[in-house]
Amino acid sequence: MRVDEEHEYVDYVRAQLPRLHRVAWLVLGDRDRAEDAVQNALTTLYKRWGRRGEVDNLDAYVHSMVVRACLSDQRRPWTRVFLRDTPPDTAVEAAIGQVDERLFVGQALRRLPERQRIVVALRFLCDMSVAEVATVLGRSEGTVKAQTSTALRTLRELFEASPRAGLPMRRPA
Amino acid sequence: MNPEEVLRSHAEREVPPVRLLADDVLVTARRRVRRGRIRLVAGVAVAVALIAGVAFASPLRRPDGGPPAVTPTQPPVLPSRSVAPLRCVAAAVPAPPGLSAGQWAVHAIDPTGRFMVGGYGSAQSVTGLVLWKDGVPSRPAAAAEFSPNAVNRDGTAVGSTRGAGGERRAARFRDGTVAQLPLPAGATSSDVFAVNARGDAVGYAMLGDSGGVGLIWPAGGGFVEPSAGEGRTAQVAGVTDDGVVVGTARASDGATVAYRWSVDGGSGAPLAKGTAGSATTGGGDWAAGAAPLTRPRDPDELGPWHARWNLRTGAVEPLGLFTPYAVSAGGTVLGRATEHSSGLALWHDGGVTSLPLLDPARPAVWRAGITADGRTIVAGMVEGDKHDEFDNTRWTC
Repeated sequence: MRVDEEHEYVDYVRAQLPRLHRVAWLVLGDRDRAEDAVQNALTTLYKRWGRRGEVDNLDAYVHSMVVRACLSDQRRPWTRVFLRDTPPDTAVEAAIGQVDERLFVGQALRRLPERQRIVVALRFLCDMSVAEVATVLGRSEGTVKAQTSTALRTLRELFEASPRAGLPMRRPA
Repeated sequence: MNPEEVLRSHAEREVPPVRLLADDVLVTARRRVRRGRIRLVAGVAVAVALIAGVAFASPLRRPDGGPPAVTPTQPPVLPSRSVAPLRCVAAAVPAPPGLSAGQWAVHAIDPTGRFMVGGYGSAQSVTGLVLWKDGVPSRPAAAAEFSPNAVNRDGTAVGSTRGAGGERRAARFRDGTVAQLPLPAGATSSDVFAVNARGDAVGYAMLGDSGGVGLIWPAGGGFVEPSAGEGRTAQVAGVTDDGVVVGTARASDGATVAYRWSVDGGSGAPLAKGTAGSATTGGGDWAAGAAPLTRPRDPDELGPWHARWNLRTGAVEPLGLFTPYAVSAGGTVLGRATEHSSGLALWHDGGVTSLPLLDPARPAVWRAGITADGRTIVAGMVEGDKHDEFDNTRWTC
C-alpha cells in the first residue's frame, strides 16, 4: 500500500474506532476480545483498502466486517455472547440482594441458544434492522424474525421468573 | 418486563473507552499481512522442495523438524539482553468482610505498598471504595460511590464518583471524605487516572461534542489544561513524584507524540526527539507507552511497538511487543509479555518475568498496579465464561 493510502487508512480508522469498538463490545461484552475483533476486521480492511472505491457504503461495509469478526470469535468453543461491564461495576450488594441489571441481563442472554443470542444482540444491542441482521448472518429475514421472537419470549420468561436475586456470583471455595 | 426495552436500555450504557490507537491498528495490520506473505512463500518453498524430491534442508525449517519458522520476520518481542528472571510469589489479597469473590476487585497499590485500593458493588450499578491499609481492608462509608484508579503513599485515592446526573465525575478521597474536583465549564464526564506523593493528580474531562481535554489538578487546588501547542490536544496519563506529567500530544492530523509537562501545565515538550506514540504511564524517572514507527521510510518496516522513556535523559528503550500497564519508580515495567499473551509480566533490565497465577483459568487482567521498588504487584485477574469472579492477587518478587 502506498504511503498516502496508508495515511487515508489511518485517518479512516481513527474516525471509526469508537463506533466499531462499541459494536464489538456490545456483542462480545469483553474489552480485550472486542479490540481483537476490531483489529481483525481492520486488518482485513487494510488488505482491501485499495478496492474501497468499489463499495457503495464503506461505513456499513466495515460495520459488517466487525460484526463478522465478532461472530468468528463466537465460534470458538470457549466464548459466548454475554454482557460484561467493568467487573467492579457489575458487583452486587449482597445485603439487599440486588443484582446489577447488567449482570442480570447478561446472564439471561447466556441462557439463550447461540443463534438466538447473536440475533438479539445484533437487533437490540447494535440496533440493526432485521434486513441488516439477515445480511450479516446470511440468513433469511423470516428466520431472523422467528429467532428474535423466540429469543424475546424466552427472555421474558426468564425475566419474569427470576427474583433478580441469588444469581450465581461467587466461585466455589 | 419487556425484554426488548431491557435490551435497548442495556445498549445505551456507556461502554469502556477504546484503547486501540489507529496507528497501532495500522502497524498490526502491516505485520499480519507481511506474515501472511511470508507463510505463503514458505509454503511454496516447501511444496517446491517436496515436488523436486530433494532432502528438505531449507533454512525455513527448524532443526528439530518442526514447522517452517517465521521468527526472523517477526518484530523483536524483547531486547536480546539476558537477564535472570525474578522469583515472584502470588498470594490472595485479603477480602473485604462481607463480600464474595465476585463483588470486589483490587485496582491499584501505592508506591510504598502500604495502601491498596479497589472497587466493590455498593448498590445497583454503583462502585464503592475498598481501602487497604497495612493489609487490612475497609469500606469507608463516605466513599460508597467512589471508584478508585490510584492511591498515593498518604492513602489519598483518586478516581471518579457520580455527578448529579449519574455521570462519571472526577473525585478524590482523602481523610475519610470524597471531594469532587473542579472541572472546566461544560464537562459531561471526567475521571482521574493518577496521583503523586504531593497530591497532584491527572485525568480528563469530556466536553460534550467538543471532545475531551487532559486535566491536571495541582495539589494546591484548581485545575490546569496542559498545552500541547497550536493545533494539538493534550492527553495526560501519569504524574511522577517530581512533578512530571506524561501523556500524549495529538495533532489535528491525528499524529501523536509522547509528551511531558510540569504540573502547572507548562513546559510541554516531547519525551524524546522524533518519538511518535503516546506515554500511558509514568513513575520515578520513567514513562512507558506505545511507540509505533508510524511513518517509517519503508512502509513495511516494523518498529518497536512500545517503549520506556527515561525522563531525565530522554533515552528511549524499546519494549518490543511487551505492552506496559504501569512503570515503577525504579523503572520496572508491569504489563503483558506480548500483544496476545495473557497474564501479567514484569519487564526489568531488558528481561521478562511472568507472574504466576493463582488460578490459570483466570489469566486476564482487570486492573493492576506496582510499587516503587517494582517488587510488589497487585491485580484483579478474570477470565473465561465466569467474568463475575476475580482472583485478586498480590505478588511479591
